[in-house]
Amino acid sequence: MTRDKVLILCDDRSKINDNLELLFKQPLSLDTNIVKGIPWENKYYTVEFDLYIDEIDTNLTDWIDEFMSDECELLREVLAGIIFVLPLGQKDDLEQIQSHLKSENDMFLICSDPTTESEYPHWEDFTTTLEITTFGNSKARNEYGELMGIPRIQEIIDTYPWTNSELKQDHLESSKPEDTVGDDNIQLHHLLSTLQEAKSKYSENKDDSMAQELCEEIAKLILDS
Amino acid sequence: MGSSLKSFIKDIRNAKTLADQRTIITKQSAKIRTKLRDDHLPFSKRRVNIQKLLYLYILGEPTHFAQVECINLIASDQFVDKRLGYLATMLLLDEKQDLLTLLTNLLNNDLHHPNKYIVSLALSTLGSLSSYELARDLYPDVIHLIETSSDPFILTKSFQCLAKLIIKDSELTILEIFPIELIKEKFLDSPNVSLLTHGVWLGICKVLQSIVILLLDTSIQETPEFILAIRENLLIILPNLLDQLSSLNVKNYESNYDVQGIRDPFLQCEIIITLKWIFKLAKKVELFSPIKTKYDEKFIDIFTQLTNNSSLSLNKNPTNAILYEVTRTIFELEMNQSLRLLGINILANFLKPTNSASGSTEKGKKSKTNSNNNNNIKYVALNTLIRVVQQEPNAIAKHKKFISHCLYDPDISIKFRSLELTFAILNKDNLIELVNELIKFLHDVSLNNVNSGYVYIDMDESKELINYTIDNLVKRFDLYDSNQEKVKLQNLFEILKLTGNMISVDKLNEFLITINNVEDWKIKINCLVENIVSHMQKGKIPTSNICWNLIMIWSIGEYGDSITNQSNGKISETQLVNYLIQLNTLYSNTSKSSIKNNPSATNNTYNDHITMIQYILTSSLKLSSKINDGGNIESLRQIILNHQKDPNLMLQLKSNQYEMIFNQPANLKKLMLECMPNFVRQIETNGDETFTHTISTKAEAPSIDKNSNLLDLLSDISDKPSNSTASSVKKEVSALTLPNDAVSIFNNDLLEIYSHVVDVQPGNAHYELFFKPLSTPFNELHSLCAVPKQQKLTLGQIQPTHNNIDVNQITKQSLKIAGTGKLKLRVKLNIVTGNNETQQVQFDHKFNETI
Amino acid sequence: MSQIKYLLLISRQGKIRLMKWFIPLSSKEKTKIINELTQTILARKPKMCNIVEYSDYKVVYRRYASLYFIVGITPDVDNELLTLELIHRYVETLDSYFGNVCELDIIFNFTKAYDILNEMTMCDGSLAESSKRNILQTIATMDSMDDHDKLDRVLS
Repeated sequence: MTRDKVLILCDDRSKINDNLELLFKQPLSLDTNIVKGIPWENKYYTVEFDLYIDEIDTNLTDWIDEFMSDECELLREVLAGIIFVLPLGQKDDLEQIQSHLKSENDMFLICSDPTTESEYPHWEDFTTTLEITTFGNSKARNEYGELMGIPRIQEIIDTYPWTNSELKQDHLESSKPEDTVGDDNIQLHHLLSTLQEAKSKYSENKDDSMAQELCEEIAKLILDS
Repeated sequence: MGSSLKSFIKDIRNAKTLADQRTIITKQSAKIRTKLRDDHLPFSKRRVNIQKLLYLYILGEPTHFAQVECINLIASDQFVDKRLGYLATMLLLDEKQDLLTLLTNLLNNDLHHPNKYIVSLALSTLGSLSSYELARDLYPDVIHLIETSSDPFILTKSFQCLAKLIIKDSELTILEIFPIELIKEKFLDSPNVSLLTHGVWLGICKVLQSIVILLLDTSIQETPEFILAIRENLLIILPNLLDQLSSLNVKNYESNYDVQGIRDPFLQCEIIITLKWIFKLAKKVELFSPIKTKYDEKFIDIFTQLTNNSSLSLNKNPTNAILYEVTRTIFELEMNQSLRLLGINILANFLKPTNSASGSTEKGKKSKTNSNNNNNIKYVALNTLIRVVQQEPNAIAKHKKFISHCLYDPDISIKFRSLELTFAILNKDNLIELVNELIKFLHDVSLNNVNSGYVYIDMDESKELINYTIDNLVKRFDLYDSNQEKVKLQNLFEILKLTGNMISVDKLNEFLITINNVEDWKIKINCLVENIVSHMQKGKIPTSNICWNLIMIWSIGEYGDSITNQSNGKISETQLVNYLIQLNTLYSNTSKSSIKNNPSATNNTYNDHITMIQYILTSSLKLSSKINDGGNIESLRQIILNHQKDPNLMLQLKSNQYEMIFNQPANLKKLMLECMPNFVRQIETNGDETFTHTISTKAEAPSIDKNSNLLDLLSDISDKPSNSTASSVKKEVSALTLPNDAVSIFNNDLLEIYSHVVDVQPGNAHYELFFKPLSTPFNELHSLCAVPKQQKLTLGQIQPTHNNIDVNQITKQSLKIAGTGKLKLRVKLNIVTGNNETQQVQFDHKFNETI
Repeated sequence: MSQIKYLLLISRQGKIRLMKWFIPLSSKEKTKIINELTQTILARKPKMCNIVEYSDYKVVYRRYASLYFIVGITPDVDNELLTLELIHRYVETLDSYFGNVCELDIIFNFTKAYDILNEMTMCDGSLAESSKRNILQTIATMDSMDDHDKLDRVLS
């Protein structure tokens, strides 16, 4: 099965919905718990996935029991990951999540605490199986220069090996810093970016007329310089 | 089930399902394989497929099928293909592959390519995949590049590559050909210094290291021309290395090579390492000794300079890296003492807690000096100090404060290292101080164990730390002077209080002997009184600290009368008796319930409790001979009678035995149950690092006879009771056979004993005793031996087992005697036969040999 | 001799992102090292030092931008502190090349990450070039030559 769904589990949807909207960059209506085709984009690829949002009815233990039951096997097979948005001040919840879900290593597991802005020391104990972070939207980084909260969750979603993603080809252009341009003859940034474009179009190998156009443009650029 | 989960599942069922993801990767690699097999596939497509393949490689998928394809990609005349081809070849192939011969021609061509980047790719690949054949065929091309190229980029890579080829060439063919004077002429003489970039320096260093290491590994019979040339050139090059190092080691900002304001620490370290190797060669090989004679002083000077200059920018990791390399060199080359002391000071400086002030001065998101920088230098410093502590124990001991400080580091590997080092520097002079530090440390660790809050080391780790500490501490009990007995006892009890619930009862052997051997009776008893008083005042007995209880039980049996007498009425006989009664109830109940509930899981606790009851029985017996109150004596008898039908055979046996002794006339009983005499302790280190503690008496034969119980007590300690209930399964034991030259030294209707000479030399003898039950199997066999006063005996354990020995089954015991004189032996055996009778066998034997 | 035996990049999620072996090992041995080190290193607490004894090697690691950079070295021979600098140098170079490198960059441009590593280290994992600027210049030039070739093909 293609894993193209992300499950959110929270204890109070209304409190976190604003930040969920920030996380997935789109409005999420409170009265629906299935959102199909969330578009996701980064500098390398685009992908679409579905969002399942659930609230804890009674307690986390019951929810995990249900989720791990045979009936939910199908669900477990299509999830790219689970994001728990719960207060994580106590170790117990984390221990439960860890012990029951550690075998599910085809999906990412994120525990995100909407009630705190800083990391709790006991989070360190779970680093091998869970990624634990806040649920804030600040650009702050921790002592390792790592993103936290929503930006970090976005990063984890980015690094998931989606099988249904579409690669973009023009990524290197934007990431190449200017001061590393080599000592060869070709110095013009514009020319380089055109070359990049040509390269990407070429690898896609779809449109001959486009290639022709590009060639002409590049030829002109070289002549002009 | 919650409605949401149901709706999610419904949603999945409604959607059409796609291919199983697990097969995607397999399909991909199959697809790549088919594509690559297509000879007409254009290079561009090939490249895409190789790129995909490399991705699979990172995922750990098999990629070997494409090795030839990678090599084929190198054959393209396009740079873009070659670049990826070389990258893939370096990743997918290693030096062990036969395929490498396919590379010879390609590399040969590319090493002469007009495009320097292609040359560099070829050099990198040759450097990482230099099989014997490749090296043999291509080294002339690499040397040619060094001779002709004037591009530092190519020279850098050529030198690195050559260094690799040299070190692999044990026949010295390359050394014979390589014009070493080239280094001097082409690079070191002005005006050519522009060629000498740091990269080229690094390369030259590598080549020199390879040459020296190879020469150190090869025994040079005659002295061919080229070796003399190497010596002459090393003599010429050396000052350049020294100069370069000293010019790097000044503050001079050069952004290209700067690391936190330090000039190229990589090159600095590489030069230091090169110098180290050259001086090692000069030290070890006579032919090269002129190097040492000529430059030793300069070498020492520059090392002094390095340590002085670098201390200006302490706390920076690059500086520390250089200083660390310097100290390692000092100790590896065993340089003079003042440098060694300098080295130790540098390392001690690493341990200083003030160093933690270093830190986030650096801008940018990737802070180089994050908090554990401090930990890393502690780690390397402790590690190095442990290795050199034999060379300079006293100098290192001076820094004991910093070393002890590291005991509290959050990192367990640092804790362990500082423990190891603490024990290595521990001597008579700093004994009290360091033991106090260690007690403080034990306090910290045991506290950490109890705290339920934020625990930075886990339970197992603290147990490990505690056991390591105790194991080493008990070995130091001998270091106390005779006038330090009070402190010694105080320390001992303190240690037990802190850790008695976390160590195994087997470890108490040394504790008991230490208490037993305290010569000052008054101190000993006072200390016991103090501890018993505080112990009993708590009201209820701490069940968890089993070791503490054991020591108390034993002490009551040994010294019960003196304790009550010296306690000024604080402790009464009745209290002691009640204490034993309480503990007896406690351990009897728990041992019964644990065997009922879960015999296998609680085996350790069960065994411990059996041990405790044994001690209680012995203590009750002994105490009964020391007190007068009839009621109390009867209570003690009840404790013993309590176990007459114990499901544990050993306890049952003891109970019956003791009851017999109990009923002896008082004067006889008192004589039998006197306090234990002083013990001489010997510790033997076996090859497998397990310590066998065996005790031999001071060969005063009468004292053995008088204290038959003593043996009994000791066997309690040294041989853990096995769970030898009647139903217990016999262990699988490997069958021993008698050696041909074994001679019978004793026999009766119970057993036959043989001896066998393993080795006899002046001063040392090694025998083996063999025991063979004749008429009845043995449930247990314990042996103790004594030798004359002028000799020392180390007794091994009975192999392969000391219990459940069948008739005619052979067991053996090793016997090592050191000293002088005729070899005489008194052997005493305690045997529990198959029908649970206790038998004692004692005999003397004279060996034919003398040491 | 100061030489690294292997370099592994492992994400905080325990996924391997890059591996380079400077010693010949069977794929079974490699898998074992990766699995065991992932477990060990990810479980390390922030306050612990960055040096771990593992099997025949000593392992020096640094955590940067949600990735663990793990390097195997020879105990008692290689300089642990300098190895930390080497990791840092590599990270800095990646950083300059990608402009604040992140895990996603390594996933999608792993060949570039290899290229940079191969300019920095050679042979059995010895450091060949200590200048970040030189490395970046070489890579940039080679990149533009790549583009040349690709353009050539489009043109022809």
